[in-house]
Amino acid sequence: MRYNSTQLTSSGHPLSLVKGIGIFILTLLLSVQVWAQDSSISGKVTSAEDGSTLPGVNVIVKGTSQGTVTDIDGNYRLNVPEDAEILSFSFIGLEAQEVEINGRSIINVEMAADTRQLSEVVVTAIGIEREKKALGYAVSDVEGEAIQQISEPDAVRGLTGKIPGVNISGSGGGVGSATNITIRGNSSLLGNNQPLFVVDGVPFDNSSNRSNDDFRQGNPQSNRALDLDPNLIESITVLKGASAAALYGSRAANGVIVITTKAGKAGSKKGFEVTVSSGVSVEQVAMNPEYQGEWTQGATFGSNNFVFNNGFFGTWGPRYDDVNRWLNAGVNDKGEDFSVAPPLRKYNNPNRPDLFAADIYPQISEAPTQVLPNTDNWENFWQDGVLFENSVTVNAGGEKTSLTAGLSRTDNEGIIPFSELDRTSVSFGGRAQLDNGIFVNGSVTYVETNQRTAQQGAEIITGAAAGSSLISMLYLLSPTYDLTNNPYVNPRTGGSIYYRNGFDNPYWVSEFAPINSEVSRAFGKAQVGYDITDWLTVSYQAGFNTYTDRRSSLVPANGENIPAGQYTVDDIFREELDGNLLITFDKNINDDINLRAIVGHNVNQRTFEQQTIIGTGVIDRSITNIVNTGSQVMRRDLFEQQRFQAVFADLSFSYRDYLFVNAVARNDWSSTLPTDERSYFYPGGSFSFVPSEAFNLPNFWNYFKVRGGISRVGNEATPYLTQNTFVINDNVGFQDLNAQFPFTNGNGSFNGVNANRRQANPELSPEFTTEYEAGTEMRFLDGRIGLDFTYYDRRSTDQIVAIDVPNSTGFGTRVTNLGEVQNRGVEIGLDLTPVNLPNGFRWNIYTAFTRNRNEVLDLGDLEQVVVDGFAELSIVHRPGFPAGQILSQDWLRYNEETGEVGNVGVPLVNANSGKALENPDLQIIGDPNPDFLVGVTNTISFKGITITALVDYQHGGDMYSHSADQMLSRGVLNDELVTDRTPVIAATGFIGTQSGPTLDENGNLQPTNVIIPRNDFVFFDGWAAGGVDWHSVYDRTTIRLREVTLGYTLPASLLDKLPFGSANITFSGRNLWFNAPNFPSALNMDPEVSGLGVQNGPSQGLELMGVPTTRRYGVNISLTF
Amino acid sequence: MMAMSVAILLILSACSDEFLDINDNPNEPVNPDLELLFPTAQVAYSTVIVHNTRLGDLGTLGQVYESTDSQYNFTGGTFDNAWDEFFTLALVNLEQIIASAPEAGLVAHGAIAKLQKAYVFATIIDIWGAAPFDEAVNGEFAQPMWEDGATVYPKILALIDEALAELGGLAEGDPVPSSDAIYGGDVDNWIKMGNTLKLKMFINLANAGDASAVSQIEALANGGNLISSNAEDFEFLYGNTLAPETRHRWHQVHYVATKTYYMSNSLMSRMIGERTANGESFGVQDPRLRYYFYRQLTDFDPTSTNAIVPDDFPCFGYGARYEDGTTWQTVCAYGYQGNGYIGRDHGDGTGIPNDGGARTTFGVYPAGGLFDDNSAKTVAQSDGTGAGVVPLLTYSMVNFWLAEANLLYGANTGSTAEDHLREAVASHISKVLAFPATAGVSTDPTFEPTQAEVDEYVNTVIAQFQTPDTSRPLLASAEDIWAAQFQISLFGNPVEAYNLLRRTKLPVALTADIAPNSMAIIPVNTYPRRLPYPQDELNTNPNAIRQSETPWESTPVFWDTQAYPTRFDGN
Repeated sequence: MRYNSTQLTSSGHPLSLVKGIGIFILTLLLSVQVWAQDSSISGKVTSAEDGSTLPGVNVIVKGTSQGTVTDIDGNYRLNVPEDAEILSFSFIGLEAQEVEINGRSIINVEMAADTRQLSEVVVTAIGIEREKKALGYAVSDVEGEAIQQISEPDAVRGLTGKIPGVNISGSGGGVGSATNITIRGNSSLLGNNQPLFVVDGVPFDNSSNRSNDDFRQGNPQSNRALDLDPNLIESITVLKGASAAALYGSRAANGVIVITTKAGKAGSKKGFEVTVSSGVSVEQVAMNPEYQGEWTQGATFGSNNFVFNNGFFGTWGPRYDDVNRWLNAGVNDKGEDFSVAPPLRKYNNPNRPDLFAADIYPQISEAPTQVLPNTDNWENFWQDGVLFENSVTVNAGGEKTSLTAGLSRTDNEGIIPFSELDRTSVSFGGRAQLDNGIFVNGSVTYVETNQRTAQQGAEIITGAAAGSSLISMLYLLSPTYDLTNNPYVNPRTGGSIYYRNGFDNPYWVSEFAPINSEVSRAFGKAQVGYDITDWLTVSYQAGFNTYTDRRSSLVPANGENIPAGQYTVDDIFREELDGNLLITFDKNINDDINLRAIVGHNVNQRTFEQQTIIGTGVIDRSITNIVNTGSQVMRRDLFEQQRFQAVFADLSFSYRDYLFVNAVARNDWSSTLPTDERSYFYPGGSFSFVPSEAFNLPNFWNYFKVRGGISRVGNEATPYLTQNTFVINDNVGFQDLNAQFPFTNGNGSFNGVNANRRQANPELSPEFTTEYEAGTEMRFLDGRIGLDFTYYDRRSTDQIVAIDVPNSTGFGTRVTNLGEVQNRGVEIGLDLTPVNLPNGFRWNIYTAFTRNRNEVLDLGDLEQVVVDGFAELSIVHRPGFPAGQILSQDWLRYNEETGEVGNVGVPLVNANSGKALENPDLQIIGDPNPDFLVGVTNTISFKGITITALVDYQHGGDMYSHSADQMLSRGVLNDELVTDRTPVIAATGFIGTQSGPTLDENGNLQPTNVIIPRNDFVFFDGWAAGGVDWHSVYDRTTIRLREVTLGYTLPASLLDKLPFGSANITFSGRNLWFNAPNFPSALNMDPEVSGLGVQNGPSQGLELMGVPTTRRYGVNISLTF
Repeated sequence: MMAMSVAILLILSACSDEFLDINDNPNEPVNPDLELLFPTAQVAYSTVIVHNTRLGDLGTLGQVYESTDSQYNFTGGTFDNAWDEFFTLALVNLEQIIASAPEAGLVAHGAIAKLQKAYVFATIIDIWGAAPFDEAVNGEFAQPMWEDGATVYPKILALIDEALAELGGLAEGDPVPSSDAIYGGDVDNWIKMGNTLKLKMFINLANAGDASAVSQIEALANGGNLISSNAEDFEFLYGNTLAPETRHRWHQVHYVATKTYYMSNSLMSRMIGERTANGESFGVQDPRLRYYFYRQLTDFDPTSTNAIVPDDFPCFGYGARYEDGTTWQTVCAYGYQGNGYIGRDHGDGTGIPNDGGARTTFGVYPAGGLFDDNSAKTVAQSDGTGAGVVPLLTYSMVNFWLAEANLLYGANTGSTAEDHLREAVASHISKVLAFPATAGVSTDPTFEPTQAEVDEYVNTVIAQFQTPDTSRPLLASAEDIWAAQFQISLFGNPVEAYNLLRRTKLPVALTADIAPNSMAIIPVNTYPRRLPYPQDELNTNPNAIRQSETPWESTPVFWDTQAYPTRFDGN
């Protein structure tokens, strides 16, 4: 047999699947090829560079369809007709050669790299590959290597600081916690600001799919880009602006992250290659607040009467020294009997068998003989996590056919005890170019992502609202309580043991109250095309992307919050189908002008289903399923579907390879809009001019390009916003009221319907984003200096938003087209190579600078739009302000110059209490938008060793910090404000009332002179954290050592003796150091602890206590065979 | 070529209109059956009134139970949810019934919805003082204009009259709502509810000196078809299931480890009946005591240090917490009542200790919890049933109001104030004593009051009403005694308890329990004359009255015209 399948897949390969598919494809090849047999030629193809053999090289008898590919050792054998004269050898990335046969039967060939192809090619919209220099807009591409071997299992977080114009922030350090990514600022007032993800040409859902409607309960769910294993990614291209993204249509207004997986990439350079990489890393909590160990749990009454109480939240009691002295003496300084009750005494009640645990834990009934500060409760709670990453990818094939298979596995034990994440991916892809002009390619990936974490909602502990969350009490826990050594579970009942009623022990929550998510996801595509002529191609690509996320959440019985126990199952299904027809015309009109035209059609359907069942009353605590609950409520049963179709065109002219003009246009028809508004059209255009090719520039100036573009992108709505509806047995609306339907009372059993809180809009129209951008790229001194500069101005108008409306309308929100938001800014990529020695020593500094200015230009007739939050601590948009201002309480202030009472000046103070008055109207107290972001990557390489260090810096941006607020007001933070317990007089302020200052008999302002105990000063309506929220807003400027790697690549000389094609070892560290200098230093605040996950809107200004961030140290090994 | 054909097929199918006509919501109906809207509205407005994160805190202002809210530190956000749910769960659905009923020929449905709308709006005006009415819950107005209570009240009364006329014109066999979770569609009871709602509103107006209101009250009293027995009470009953959650909110949040409210030391003191230094008690134990309050401890010794340290309880009456230099001061007027009646004084703003297992908590009436049979246990979710009640407009209220009209506004109510008071107290006691059977909670007959004990109690109250004891400053007048009884009976309705205190400034015993010179507990704010406007509404409605324009601490609602004695503001 002439065409031996083992040539492609290598005998003895472990993956028989690869082999099987290989045979299948070759059978296809055989079925369309017919040829004669005359004489035989054989030979070997080697690399001109290093003499290595080249498998997979295409060898064709010129003028015929006869040909073959070289085998794993670079050998080929080919029968040629007698009249054959020339053999052509070709391979991607190598310069093609034509060799005259001249009667030879052995022809050996050396092939050299194709220098012309060194000019970069990037994947742009809908998979169109274009030369980078021809682009009239900014794109950034990142090789897969940059996000591999850095001990970061989240591909998106791995991009942080590396791309100008892109702002990425994680939401704490829980395994699989969500990552927020925005490109060129927040354009959408209330909608999604996340870019569109496209993987191997198919839109890729990156939803967070929150299980709870209320963000206060926000157990941060993963966003589903987590399903992408960095080890299986070939490259990432970021299309930042509307010009780049317009062809993707509706969802591209926030930019596009185009990801090519190894399975979906165009071709393989090496004929056969196996890559194995393995990594292990350790993660530790990175944010460790310092707790004060001087003052005990308790309260301060009056000015200096410190009362010990180990049942309190607050740590405003006497000194540890005093308490222990009193304990020894048996009397306190007032001469009263003094003893300390066991903090867990409520478990010493034999009449309550459901609580009784004193026989199991002696400390429950023993009065303590001393009281000590346990300032390491926090550090002890978090465990060291471990991350294992393993992957194998196999490439086989040559220029015309290739196959890739990949297998990867990630295991991550998190810093929360018992939390873990595992992710297993299998992918497969292949392509074939037939000689009759037909080409096919396809890829498919299957991923399972399992996450087990604990109830960790970023709770605000006000009243009984706090749920069963390990976070809710951990930050502010008094060090007087020994969290580490006291028991946390009652083995008799399985219930929680904790000093404070109404709260569950964090250890108990983390061990027994899991939140699980099991995601099964498949995505892929198949494309079939036909090169009708060498300038006309037609292709169709069908893609799919679907997953189920089976979630469950358990609160066991006998906890404090839900004593009966509760088990919730939440099944989520998403599916996206996408079809793309492309007709490509590509022809040189004459020697100078090339025209490429693409017209296409796109059809897309998205489906979402969610079913949630809440089972209350756990029956048997060894069983976890919904049958094992006393009663069940169906919370949700949703089906949503939307479709669109579109036609589009993309025209590109190039003149002499230095002037490029591109025009795009697209018309969409969306199912989500009213019939007469469902069609919308949007055009765009861009140009690129490369003077360095057109003119003779000075020698030092290697490359110069200017570019500019203007584009518009239309966007559709989400489903079902055009019709007012009623909710059946509305457990969502009534959930908060703790009354549920069907409702049974003494008068009967009742179903109910309720008007949907969201008022629909039958006149909805599409929203549009228009963006101008201009930029330049330059390289000097043989590429030692490179600059990429972009300015953009993006305006989003007629946004489809569900704005909060006055409840007196009967609704909570109304869907409307609203407003105009502007984002403008600069992106700078500066590439410097200060040292580049002949011996190979090279030092490169790459700086990514991002500065975005955002302004809400117009909100129609609205004075403000509420984005998210609570009634008195929320994020709002106001015209004339940057998007997403923090709105909350401030003092009532008196302006001495104008005599006005309002939001300017010094506070007015209650004459009796000595406390500041609160302004009854809420005020803007902070702006979360950062001034700029900089990421600096230093890379030093020498003889196979590469060292990189990425430092990133965020300047400005305010944040309300609930952890600072709570840890100060509860008196636990080692900060002078709370460790100094001297009573205080407020520094500034005048005695007054809500109507203004109270003047003395001479008509003068009276400064406040009331002395306040420190407890009151900081806490109850005080002058510090416990007072108005204005106190707890901090500038979150942060500098961070984000990433350090040390890599070593084994030299070729050494590899000759080993069975490897290449071998690489990398040591890495992530988030090694950070400093946010404007927060109380004892807090060690990492502003990336937002705890809110991915928000629909710019809510990063609220930190509500989340899982702290982590630091990782790891080592990775990568080998190719 | 296969692929091309498939592609062309897909495109052709995609181009048809049917392909895109999929935007009708498959999960939610557009035109639901009107019957389904009644229970939604009823559950909503009833629950809002007692819910601890809605209007439940008004009970601490009416001083029928306590919390740290004694600081009066409310803000615009405190009562946001109550406002929200009155409009988006109650009124919007009632308006839907009102709008659709005529076309469907369902006159009774529309009229009954109007009466409930009137009840909700009367409540809104009574506690907030102003609200949108004409433009509220009307699709045409995105930012409804606010109206002052004085403007809205007549419109509510007109709405009631309109509804009563419609109900009066019904013919035999006309359809009535079958899903009415309160009266089961009984039109006669709804007519009585409508008239009683008018009485409640005219009482407020009469207090403000509106002479025509007095004559309206007289008309209602003399054959006005008011609620005339406990059986006709306009009240909402809860269920006993955890999932779906149908229990009374007070059972939900007090039959768990952490409790929202403390029982009021002064109310318990008065009902225990032992004469104390302040002398506010009637001198005889109230028959309702064991129905209202469940003691988790009965033999509690506050001086013992092991079970619960005394420092946990700032106001035991035996000492004080505030040290001014060297002097200890008594800051508690009532303090610990003994026998395990552990509550909190009004005005005590000190922190919440870890005392969930010790506090006295809600009993069987109205929360559906336990009857106090000296069992003295830490209450749990499984104790009692939760099948409690929210009394909205009741027969005893009618009699208390008629006594008020007679006593304070000189109305001729066809009977004496004393008779009204006797009927009010007796009927309320009989309602409470009968309630365990309704709620499905068992009682121990050993601890149930006998009829003789009930009679003795009523007679004692009436005797004191006839001859007030001026040596007991807090029960020194007939008005004080009437108000003290009215307040006791309003234990289950925080809104009316708050209304009573603001309207009459009675009973005089209240609001200044705590010695004014104790620094830790000086209210930063004055006694709230009304609730702050809801912040969410202010954030979204430019037509709302700004908080700062009419400060809520100092601007009463329109019918609250009499000056507040200084004791209300604590200093």
